[in-house]
Amino acid sequence: MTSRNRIPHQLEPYLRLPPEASLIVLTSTLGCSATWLTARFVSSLLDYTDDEGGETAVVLASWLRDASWWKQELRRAAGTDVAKSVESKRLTIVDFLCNDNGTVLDTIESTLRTAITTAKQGTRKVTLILENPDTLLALGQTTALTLSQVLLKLRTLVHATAVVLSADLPLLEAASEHAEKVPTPIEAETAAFAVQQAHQAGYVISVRELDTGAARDVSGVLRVTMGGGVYGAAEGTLAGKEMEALYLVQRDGNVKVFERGSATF
Amino acid sequence: MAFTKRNVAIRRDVAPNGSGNPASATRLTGIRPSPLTSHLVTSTGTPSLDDLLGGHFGLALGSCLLIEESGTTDFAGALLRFYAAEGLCHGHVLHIVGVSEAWARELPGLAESRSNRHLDSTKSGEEHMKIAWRYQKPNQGGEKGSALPNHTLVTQQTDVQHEPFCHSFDLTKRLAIAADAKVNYVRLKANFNPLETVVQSLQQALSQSQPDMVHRLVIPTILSPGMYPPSASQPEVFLRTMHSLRALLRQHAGRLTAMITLPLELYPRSSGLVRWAELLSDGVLELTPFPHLMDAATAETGNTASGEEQPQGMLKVHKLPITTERGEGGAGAVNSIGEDLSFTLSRRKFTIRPFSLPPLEGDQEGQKEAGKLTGKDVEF
Repeated sequence: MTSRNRIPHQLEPYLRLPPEASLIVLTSTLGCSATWLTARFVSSLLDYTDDEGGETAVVLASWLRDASWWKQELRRAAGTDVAKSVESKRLTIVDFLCNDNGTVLDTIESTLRTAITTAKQGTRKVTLILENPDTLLALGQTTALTLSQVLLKLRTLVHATAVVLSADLPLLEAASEHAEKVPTPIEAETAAFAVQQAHQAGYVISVRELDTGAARDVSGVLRVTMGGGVYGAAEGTLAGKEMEALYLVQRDGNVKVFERGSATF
Repeated sequence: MAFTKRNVAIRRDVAPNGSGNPASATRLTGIRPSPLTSHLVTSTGTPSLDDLLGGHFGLALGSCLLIEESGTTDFAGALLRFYAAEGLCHGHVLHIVGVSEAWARELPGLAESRSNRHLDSTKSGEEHMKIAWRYQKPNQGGEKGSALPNHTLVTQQTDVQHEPFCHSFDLTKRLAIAADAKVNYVRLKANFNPLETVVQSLQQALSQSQPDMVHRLVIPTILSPGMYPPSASQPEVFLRTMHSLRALLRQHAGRLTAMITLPLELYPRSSGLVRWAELLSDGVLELTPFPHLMDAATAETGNTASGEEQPQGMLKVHKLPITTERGEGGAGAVNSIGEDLSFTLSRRKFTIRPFSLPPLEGDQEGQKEAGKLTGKDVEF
């Protein structure tokens, strides 16, 4: 099975190579992981070929999952030929979970700089995907402000950037004006970082649990909204429109995206 | 895809004589391949908890289960003891954090030797009871003499080739810990970072032990003010430990599992700290015991004679190892996320089954019928 038909057609416009200098934010919750979406994004980026035959490359850095897990998942869920892509340096997986210095900001920046330069090989369009850099905020390593500054520096080096963040209510509540309690530093920092990134993003793709509780044939709700960054971008550069639909990740790794109320099978 | 097909082929009944099976799977006790994926799983010591874990019928090696409990009860502690006792029965290395040897001395003893529970899951509840009684009698007679017979029972069983995957325990008995049992007590440091030693000690033990030895990490009531100083709940201490533990579980994915209990009374689920701890764990269960009043009311009805205990609380599954990480959410046939489950802790087992409200008081006929309905164990 090729990776192309592993991507639901409704999502294809959002998972194409994003315009230059753009930022995409993917958010997940405790029960609804966005790994299936990230895996498909990576495979879609690696499949991309433009008219002039220019190549793309992906640097995937994760603070929550190790490199071998990602290799397995990219192969299983998205049908990516991981070995080939890694060998040609079109795919670089940076493991900040098992790396001892994976939580030191300076090391992270220099590691990613090296990875991006290697992946670029002159002309390649590199997309940087950071999975859960907000872990650094949870570990009390840095502040939202410093982290966004580092992220901005890294964004100047690549074609486009995607950031996966946890968006559970306790981690976002501090940004709400209706917050009832005084937020703890960790809540304030994660909320600040998520809001900051969403304001800069071209669009935000979020997955979350069904509001009505779990269902046998629905994994969760997928929502695509324009981020604050879209106003600065030239009109028509972003392919998709805003949408909300249900999705189902099946045991074999296949994904179906469907409208509310429509039958899955 | 080739990957999926190969997984289907590795089933438990094929495992002993299957040629393509990894050698470690047959050499280790208490480990078997998941019927769904290529992961190896081990028992939590509680059969109905094994059944809940996303159809893998066990806790996948390399994963960590966080069990949260509200209120002042310690039902989660019972699950933890079963998990620790199960590990000892299989000769796994046990790492117990923050408590003294007394905790391990109170582990539940073996109730009876019954082969894999799933094999006889078709039998009715009554037959279960009969089998239990038959096996229990000689066992009880032996225990009156001294703790020694119980001990020999343990060692005999580990010698038997067809060691049950999940043992049955009796909370009223005590598991005699064999002299050669590998139990490592990790003391908490009396400084700002009491959890500092946990990952270090685990790392050291893993590097020194044989590569096919399975380790179990047990952390009872983490952050409880009775044992931990207030500084332990600082994100830099608690979440850093959880993150390092996650890394360690991934690095030694084939031989380490962990079970942690967390009292929710001081650290509610709505706090960022607990949510991050949940995000850093592979599986999250929440126990909500019913108020004590309801306990007393059900005791009056005397329903225990029929072998059916009333539920003592609700159980919620928020996250499942492997399944949630792949993004399946609550979907899928054997997925327990979002279901209304209840738990009952009796002398011999911790049972988890679907929750259904009891019929109205005084409605005798309805009550009898409801007994039959709720009597069903969790079936997948």
